[in-house]
Amino acid sequence: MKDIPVSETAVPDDRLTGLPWPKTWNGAYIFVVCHFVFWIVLLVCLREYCQ
Amino acid sequence: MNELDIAVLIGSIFSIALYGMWHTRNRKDLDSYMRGSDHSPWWVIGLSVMATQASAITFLSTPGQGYLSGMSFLQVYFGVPIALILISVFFLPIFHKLNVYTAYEFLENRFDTKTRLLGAALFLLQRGIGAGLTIYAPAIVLSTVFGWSLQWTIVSSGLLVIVYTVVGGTDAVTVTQKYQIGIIFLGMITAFCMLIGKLPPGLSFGDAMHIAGGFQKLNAVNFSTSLNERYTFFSGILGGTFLMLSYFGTDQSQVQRYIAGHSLRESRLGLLFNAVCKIPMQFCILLLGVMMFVFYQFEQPPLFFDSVSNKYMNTQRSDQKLVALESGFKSAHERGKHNLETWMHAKHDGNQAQAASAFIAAAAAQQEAEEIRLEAAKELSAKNTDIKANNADYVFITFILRELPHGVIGLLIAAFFAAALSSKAAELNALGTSSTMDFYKRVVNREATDGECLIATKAFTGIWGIVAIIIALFAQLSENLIQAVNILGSIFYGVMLALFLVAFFIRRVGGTAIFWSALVAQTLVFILYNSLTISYLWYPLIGCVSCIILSLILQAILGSNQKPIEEYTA
Repeated sequence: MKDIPVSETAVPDDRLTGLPWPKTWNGAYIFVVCHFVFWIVLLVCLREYCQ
Repeated sequence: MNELDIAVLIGSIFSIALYGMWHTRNRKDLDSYMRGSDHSPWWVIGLSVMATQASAITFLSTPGQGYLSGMSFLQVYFGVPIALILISVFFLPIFHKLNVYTAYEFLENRFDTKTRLLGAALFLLQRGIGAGLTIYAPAIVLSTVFGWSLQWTIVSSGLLVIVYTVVGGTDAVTVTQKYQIGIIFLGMITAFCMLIGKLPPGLSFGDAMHIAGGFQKLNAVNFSTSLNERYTFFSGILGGTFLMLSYFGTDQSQVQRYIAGHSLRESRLGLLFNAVCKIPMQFCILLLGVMMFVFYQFEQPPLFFDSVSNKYMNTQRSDQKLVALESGFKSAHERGKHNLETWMHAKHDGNQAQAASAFIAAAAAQQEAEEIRLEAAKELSAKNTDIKANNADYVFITFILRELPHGVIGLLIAAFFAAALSSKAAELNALGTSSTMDFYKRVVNREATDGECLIATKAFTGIWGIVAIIIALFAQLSENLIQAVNILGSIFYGVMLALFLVAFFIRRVGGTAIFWSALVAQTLVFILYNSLTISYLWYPLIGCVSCIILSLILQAILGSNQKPIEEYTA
């Protein structure tokens, strides 16, 4: 029987991130948004604290 | 620079370029030349996207921006996370599904040939000029500071990047960017650590942050609603999102980086990596500038960091007014330094009242020094109209040359060149690909074989490289470097983005309506840019919204769009 190269059979599973966490794309997007909000809060705090 | 610096500079820059050529020596087919080797992991794609955006200008000019204006410039990047999420959700799946070489191929599928050619032409025009600035910007600073010939700096760095980009294509760009960004990070981290080590004894990092905050250098978020303020939270979120959506979503130099991923997942993760890292990265670069500001409160800074102004100043020693301004600047700085030392001791001794009064006096002295600097700049420009004191671009390089040891100087100059080459290579690669696929194969020779297209791409990449060198040789900038590049993008990106947003989301609009609307909207942006004084961050928004509204009106006049488009819309 002829071996089929892995690249021809493996269909990339684009529905999951492939990361240990976050596993789903929605989770990844929420993480990015939370990270952004965290930085805005951090920058505002930095401005207020170091005045 | 001494021999050690030159060895570090030449060793790192040439070894990366040679490695790029050696690594890609067997790439002979069109697909791998244009889209890469198809096995780049997400983090390599992420670094490639990051290196493409972060040119030498980012690392030369942004710390100076931090020094002069504080953290407010960070707001330009507030649109990055939102824009990259939108691209990951809507743009990427369609680019991957259609397996395109250029973003503009999609416009032909969705609309028609003329709209594809318009999108590609706007890209080539804007990016062609941008490539010239990318090479001119570091060359003008480095040649002025080191006394090198500007022409030779432009030509030699331009030719080096042309050679390895023409030889290796997308793969050479991606492979070299990985190491170039390593050199850049190493250089910037080294500079930051050495700067912190050079702060006066007894001044902690917390004290330095308090000085920066007290002098209004940490105002990274400004909630003002004024349209005339260049950087605010709202211009960053609204205008910045449109600017970044246009740049990452429609500029072939970026699209070509992330469609190099072998799957949608790798491309998406590469983009989200940037969505997370961009703001912290820019924060660190600006913080470097802010810390230089603190450092120069205790060390005498030059009246002008701009070496052209400084040299001219030295020829004007007989001018009593300029000499008086210089001596006033020095004495204001000395007063400020003395008051800050008093503040530091009083703060550590717990004497809050003395600390507060000393800080107020220090802030007043610093304000006076800045006013003197501005007056001296005006005086200098009045005497010689060719002199425009442009401190932002020269602050960091002045600090490097005055304060850092040999070896580290070479490393940082290598970092600037690495950044210049990495973004320039990506631009040339994209210009060559778009010229071939959108014009040569589509208009000139529709039956071209892959072999002919490969030769054409290499030829166009080389031609664009030479065009960029010629533009750089004749360039003149009135803005500081980092702002000039963003302003150029802002003028073109709004309309380019509108082409894609209408394509994805407004099914009823067809090719003729969007084509003419784009032309009218682009003309409108040119007119407004020349007549209004609003922040440049608003122009992508204005261009995009006006183009969309015009296309809807025009389509209503023309009647419904009959082309089947389900496959190409989100």
